[in-house]
Amino acid sequence: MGELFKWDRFFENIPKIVPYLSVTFAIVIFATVLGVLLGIVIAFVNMKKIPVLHQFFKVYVSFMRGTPMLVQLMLVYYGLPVLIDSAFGTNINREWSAITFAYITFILNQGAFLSAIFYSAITSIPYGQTEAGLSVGLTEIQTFKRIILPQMVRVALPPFGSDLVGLFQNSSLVFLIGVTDIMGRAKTIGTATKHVLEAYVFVAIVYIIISLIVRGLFKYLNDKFEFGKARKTIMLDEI
Amino acid sequence: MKTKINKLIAFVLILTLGATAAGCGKSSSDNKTGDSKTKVTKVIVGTGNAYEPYCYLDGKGNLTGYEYEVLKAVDELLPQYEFIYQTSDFANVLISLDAGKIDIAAHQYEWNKERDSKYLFGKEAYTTYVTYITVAGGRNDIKSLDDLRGKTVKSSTGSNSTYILESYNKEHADNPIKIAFVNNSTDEEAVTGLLNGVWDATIYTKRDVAKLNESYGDKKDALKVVGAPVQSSSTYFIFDRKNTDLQKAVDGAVKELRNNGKLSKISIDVIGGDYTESE
Repeated sequence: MGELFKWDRFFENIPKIVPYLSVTFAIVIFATVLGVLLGIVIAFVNMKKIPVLHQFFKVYVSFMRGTPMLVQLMLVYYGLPVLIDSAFGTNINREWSAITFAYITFILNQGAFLSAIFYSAITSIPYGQTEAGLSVGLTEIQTFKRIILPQMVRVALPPFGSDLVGLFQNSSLVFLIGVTDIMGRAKTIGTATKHVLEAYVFVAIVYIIISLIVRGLFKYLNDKFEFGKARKTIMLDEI
Repeated sequence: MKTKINKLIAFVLILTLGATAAGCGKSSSDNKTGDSKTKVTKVIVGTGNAYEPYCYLDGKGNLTGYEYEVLKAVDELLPQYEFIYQTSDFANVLISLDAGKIDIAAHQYEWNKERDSKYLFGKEAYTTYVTYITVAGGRNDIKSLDDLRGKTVKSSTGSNSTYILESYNKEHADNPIKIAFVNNSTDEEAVTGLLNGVWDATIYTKRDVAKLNESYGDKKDALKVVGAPVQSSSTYFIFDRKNTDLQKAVDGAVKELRNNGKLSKISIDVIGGDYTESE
């Protein structure tokens, strides 16, 4: 067995892997932006207890939170087209690329997780505050925007940040359906050059850097949303 | 108040629909440009991304290898088809064929009964595939499948070696071979595991072992094949059961490539020896 790890191979791999960061980021950005929207919708439905939808989303969220990401990815990639194509006569099974299915999976997954974060953040604000807002003549939307939202953001931020860190790591699963992200590229470099450890080490470092940046960003946001209050949160450090 | 909320919901719906429409709009326009010129049928070929030298991604991240070269030559002979390549890990190639995502599965597939009952096999083989029990170079205790009972053998889901081992275990249920399902491991992981004793053996072709020894052997034989062949077979392209037209066309092209010597030339160029007739 030759040497398992060599620095020159490590540095050779960097320019080969870095371009694939765009794939990882695209998944995370799609999943976060559309996931936030979906999360808002689900949290709203749950707050308002809209019949049928409310029960549906309850099952949906518990499914998304209770099954492995990999299973969800396989179900969306192989199962979703069967449902949609037979219902609408489309052919997304072949026309949509693997990455589209990856986006959908991660959006659906993030929507569920974020809805739980939003819902718990909203309910953490005592209902008395809403009542107070309404009693002084604010509309429901004004009450939400001026009283609830500024407080719930602070509650939601730390779990949102750790969710985002987890999302970056989960995105490495897409390689299994044929989308080449940084993890996938590391693996294929391993096959082509016969040495895989250097590529894995580099990918590990990339994920560590990303997670440090995300955590730093959320710490900054967290401090910003203190609104000058001296209340010191230690939540971010605990997660 | 209510209308505002409705607007918000409508906005979200439009946004998600827009995003998905953008996704499918892209691919459908691709199809149109192909169709308008000639009556060319698009054929999606599913292959692997981590089996050197058959199907793997090169330094730039492009698909390369023996499967790709053969299929490219086949495609050149078939003007009515245009091949598009889609890579995934080995275990997912046949599942993609099941799901109708691909039309041809190409990943050094050997014929076996279980696969044959499910898929349409090409009639023209394009490589021979003779597999042996493979162990670490220093081991002398294993010579046949019988010696492997109670020992751990590395395999992967959906592979022919798994089929061989499981068939063996059906007849020897009292002390079966332990099958370790290791999906999409790299060559380096496989060699390391066999040398460390994580697995006692695995099943490879001689040319795979020669390749691994060259890459990781340090001029010694890291691995060696033992005993008689576990199975002597050939590899074929696999199609959906309904897709006989495509199968016949591809078979015809493979036959032509064999007859004009191009197939063996690709084999020598890419694999390093002529593995198209017999070993």
